[in-house]
Amino acid sequence: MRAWIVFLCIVYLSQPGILLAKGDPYIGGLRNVRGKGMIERGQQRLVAKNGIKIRLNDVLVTGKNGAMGVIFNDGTRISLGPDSRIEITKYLYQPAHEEYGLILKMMYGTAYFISGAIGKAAPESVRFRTPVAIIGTRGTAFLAKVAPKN
Amino acid sequence: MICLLGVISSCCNRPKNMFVLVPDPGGKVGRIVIENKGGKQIVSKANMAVQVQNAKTPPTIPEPVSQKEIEKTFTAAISVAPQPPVRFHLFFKSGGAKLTEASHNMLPKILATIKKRMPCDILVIGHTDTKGNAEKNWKLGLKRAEIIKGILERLGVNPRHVETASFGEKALLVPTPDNVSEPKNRFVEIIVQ
Repeated sequence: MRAWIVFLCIVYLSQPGILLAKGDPYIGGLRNVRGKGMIERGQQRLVAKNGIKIRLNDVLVTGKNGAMGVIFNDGTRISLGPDSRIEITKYLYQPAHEEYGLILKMMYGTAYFISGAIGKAAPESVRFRTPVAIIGTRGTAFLAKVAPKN
Repeated sequence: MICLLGVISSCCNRPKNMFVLVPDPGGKVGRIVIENKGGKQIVSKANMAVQVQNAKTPPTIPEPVSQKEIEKTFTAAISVAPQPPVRFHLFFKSGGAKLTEASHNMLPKILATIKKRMPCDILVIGHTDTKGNAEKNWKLGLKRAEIIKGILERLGVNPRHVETASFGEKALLVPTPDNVSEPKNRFVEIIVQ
């Protein structure tokens, strides 16, 4: 019996996905990654690759020749050109409880934003912050260019 | 000399910070609002842009941007935009957890789509009609989603790529009042993205 419990614990611990899934629900993933890019997750630095799942508070960074796309589970899409940096500050998509929110913070670079279900259900909850202005959207697509701070 | 000046001015007039409203991939144009301590501008026409000098200067009045300028600045970002999600609806026989025959026959097509889009994520969202109470329906929705996840797994889809969720009776395909049995609302949505 004891051996069986130990075995189960090992199986459980050896699959970080299972543990992480509890507190860190999947919110989206990387697509069409080109050149150099990474995800800053707390102290971790992950090399950007197609299919990597992203989490709340991840910071997505592209290098000089880098570009990457992100699709969120509500269908919101954002893609970054070279030398760009964006943080996923808030992401809330709980239609069963009618809770919505999306805040992205772009420090610099170029981005293409295409609204998804959050923007449709609660457009006023979508905010795109930059050092020079805040962009609000009403169910649409837009392009943003933000100069790096000198 | 004039030529040189021309080059200099065009280099330095390049907008530092710019926000451009574009049509969404379906062609629809919404609007964006650009706001800072200096003021606020609304853009409601496609391919019109607002520039912002800094956080305290008011955003400029929207002006048209040429396609050339858009391409110059944004080609890289636009070219890596993820493909739109593909959605499938699978319907259940009355009261239970069994798929209708028509829905069962859609499985090969769904699998082909998943294979083609890899690496991708598959969201499996369970829905119910409004018969019975909302809490129980939320659970039933989740049960339906888990059943579909199981089917996908048996057909060879790696469960790591599959996420399940329930919207219960909150996202009806056919709007009905509460406590209405409606076969079209007993479904699971599969979103491949």
